[in-house]
Amino acid sequence: MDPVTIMADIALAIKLGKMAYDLGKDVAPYMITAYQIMFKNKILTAEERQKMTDQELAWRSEIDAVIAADDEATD
Amino acid sequence: MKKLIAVLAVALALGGCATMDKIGTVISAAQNFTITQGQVDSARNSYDGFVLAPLYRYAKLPRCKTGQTITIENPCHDRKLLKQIRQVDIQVAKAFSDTQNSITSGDNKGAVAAYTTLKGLIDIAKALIAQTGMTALGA
Repeated sequence: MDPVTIMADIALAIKLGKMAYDLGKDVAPYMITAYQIMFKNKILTAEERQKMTDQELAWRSEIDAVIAADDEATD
Repeated sequence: MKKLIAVLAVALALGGCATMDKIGTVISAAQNFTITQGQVDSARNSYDGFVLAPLYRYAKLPRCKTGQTITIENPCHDRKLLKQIRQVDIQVAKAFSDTQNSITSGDNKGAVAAYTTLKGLIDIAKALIAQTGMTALGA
């Protein structure tokens, strides 16, 4: 492999790693909580449920904004 | 190097599928029995982690241009697929709400019915989110 190809592959690996890291940051807290509820008898408080609801609303709001932008785009 | 990345992506995707199945397991266990608050909370956390969070990240990718396909080198979101998953997500959110309301009001029969509906919708959402390729990143 030539140096240019190697550097391109490394750049791609870093890009993928960053995406996986960002996604993992979002996913991990929910997985941990689900595990604790299932196997550690954790009971969510009203505040924790509200926090979850707020995060869901924030994500859905941003997704809807992207969909609205997609609908207006001509490309 | 690219082969290594591809193999890693497939391995992570398979791992993702296995963990995604846990959502169904949690819900299946609850069918025909009393639906508890803990079961709903657990399923909701699993759904948020395995479907909603990856959907959010998928939406944040650049939009695929007409004729462009999703690749590892140039990840992008397909507008039709995004909209389709969001439509299912709206129904999932309603099913979670219906289940929660039934539990709160002590209507177990209604909770079981709503939970059964929820299971079917989550299965659809799981199948669609797998098409985004976000599961290849470990979700």
